Amino acid sequence: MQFLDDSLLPETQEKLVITVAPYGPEWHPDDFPEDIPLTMEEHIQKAVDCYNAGATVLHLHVREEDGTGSKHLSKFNELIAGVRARVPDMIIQVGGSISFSPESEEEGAEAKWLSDEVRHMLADLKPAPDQVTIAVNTTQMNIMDLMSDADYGATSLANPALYQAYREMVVPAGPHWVEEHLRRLTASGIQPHFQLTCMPDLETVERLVRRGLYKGPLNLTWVGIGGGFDGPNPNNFMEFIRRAPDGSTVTLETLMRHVLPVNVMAMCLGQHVRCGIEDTLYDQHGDKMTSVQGIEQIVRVARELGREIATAKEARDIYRIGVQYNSVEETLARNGMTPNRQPGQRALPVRYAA
Amino acid sequence: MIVPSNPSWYEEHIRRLSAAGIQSAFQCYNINSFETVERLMRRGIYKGPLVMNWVALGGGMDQANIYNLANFVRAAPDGAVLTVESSLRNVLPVNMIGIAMGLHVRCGTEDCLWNQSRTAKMSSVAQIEQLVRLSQEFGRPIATARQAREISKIGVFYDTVEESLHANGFAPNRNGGNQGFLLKAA
Repeated sequence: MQFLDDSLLPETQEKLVITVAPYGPEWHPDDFPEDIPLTMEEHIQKAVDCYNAGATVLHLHVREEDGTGSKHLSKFNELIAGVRARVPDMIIQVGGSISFSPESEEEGAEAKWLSDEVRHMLADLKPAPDQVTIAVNTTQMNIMDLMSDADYGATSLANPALYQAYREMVVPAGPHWVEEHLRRLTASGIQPHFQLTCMPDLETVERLVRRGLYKGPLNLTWVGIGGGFDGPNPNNFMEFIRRAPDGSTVTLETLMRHVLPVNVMAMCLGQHVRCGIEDTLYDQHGDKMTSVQGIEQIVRVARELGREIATAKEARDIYRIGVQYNSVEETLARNGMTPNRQPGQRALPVRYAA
Repeated sequence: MIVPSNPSWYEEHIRRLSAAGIQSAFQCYNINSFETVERLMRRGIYKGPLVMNWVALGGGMDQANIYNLANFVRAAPDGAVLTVESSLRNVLPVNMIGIAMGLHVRCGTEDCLWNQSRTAKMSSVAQIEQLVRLSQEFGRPIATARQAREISKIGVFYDTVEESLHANGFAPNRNGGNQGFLLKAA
């Protein structure tokens, strides 16, 4: 993305899209019983509360009433329908990661992923969500790397088996799966939201677009949680933002007490933010902070900056929900990317303003 | 293809290599590989010279472009020894950039089978000779094997985290207070 002289001024920036991740599938309900919903009605009410606080994108996972992550497609369908009925404009973004927890009873199974075929079933959710998140490239996802004792010591992640499982966790997202998953999601009219861990992931997305394997808007989340992903270092996300196409959207995501400073920087830079207990249980002072409190904090800071908060309808326009393109050329142009080189063409193909 | 390299494996592997007096040459395929190596050193799991390759093959690793390389070089501490590595016909331009930047180079048929116009195969020796010619154009002398051992500090290990950070040009670990992830127990 280019930054012009006035790019830090709020009136030149898109209104702020706030994504909330309030279901926290890595936590046990006892880790934050006041804020972790168990019943379906509690799940739905949590979405409504977050929407009312200012969140326009709901990052969705589901729990069974016994507190375990739900592996039932029907529960996802039920939650999506329930949220749609209460807050119809809210963008529903199903977490494509460990949404379906495994059948295994072995210890640490929480951090294992389901088979490719089962993960493709996210394209069959009914009603269809607006977005499903997709990882690109198989990557180490050691979520414990940057967590200090103060972060996880008093939680279920201190269980040694669980700690080890999350420390060794790998996100499976090889080329075959990614290409097939994009095909199925787009065939179902579901927008993929790219969860990218580093520059090679962004480069792979660009290749997918240039090869015609994805023809749609580029909504990108930079996930800077260390442990095989980029660390929450401003040099990393500035490089990511610099390389993101002008027509894409970038949301910054990190974990624990890195969340607030990274979100504040995102807001200053005209990018978008994500908060909620999936990302951090604590505020900067080490006190528990609910997802709604996290949203309220973002809204306060955004107001100080003069950055307006997008309504859900505005967020749908910013994300271009429901939009797909007919050709590689159109996809490149709409996302602000330089055209593909024609056979024999030398130097860079020139990009024309829309 | 996936490179299996989980925390439990690489920590144990580094321990065994170091115990056997073998230097770990870190193959970094992007900035977060480097960041993990930095954490390993700050946590005392590796105490030795920081000798790295920037491996830019695409396909999940960095694309061979100057932004990725510059970002990597900026992150590397001043005491690190950095070799550039890429694949096929990216090898020559990336190596020329590396030579010009004062970094080190890698060539051979594992990386590239072809000459730059792809009119013929190019042997490993022919690739070395090409880099020697180019480096001489730059006025950059070629290290002898003995000099290369000194540059890479072969056989050198450090006793403490502090010494290791200092010798590689890293900022020291923060003292006192909440040390955060920097000093997390292994």
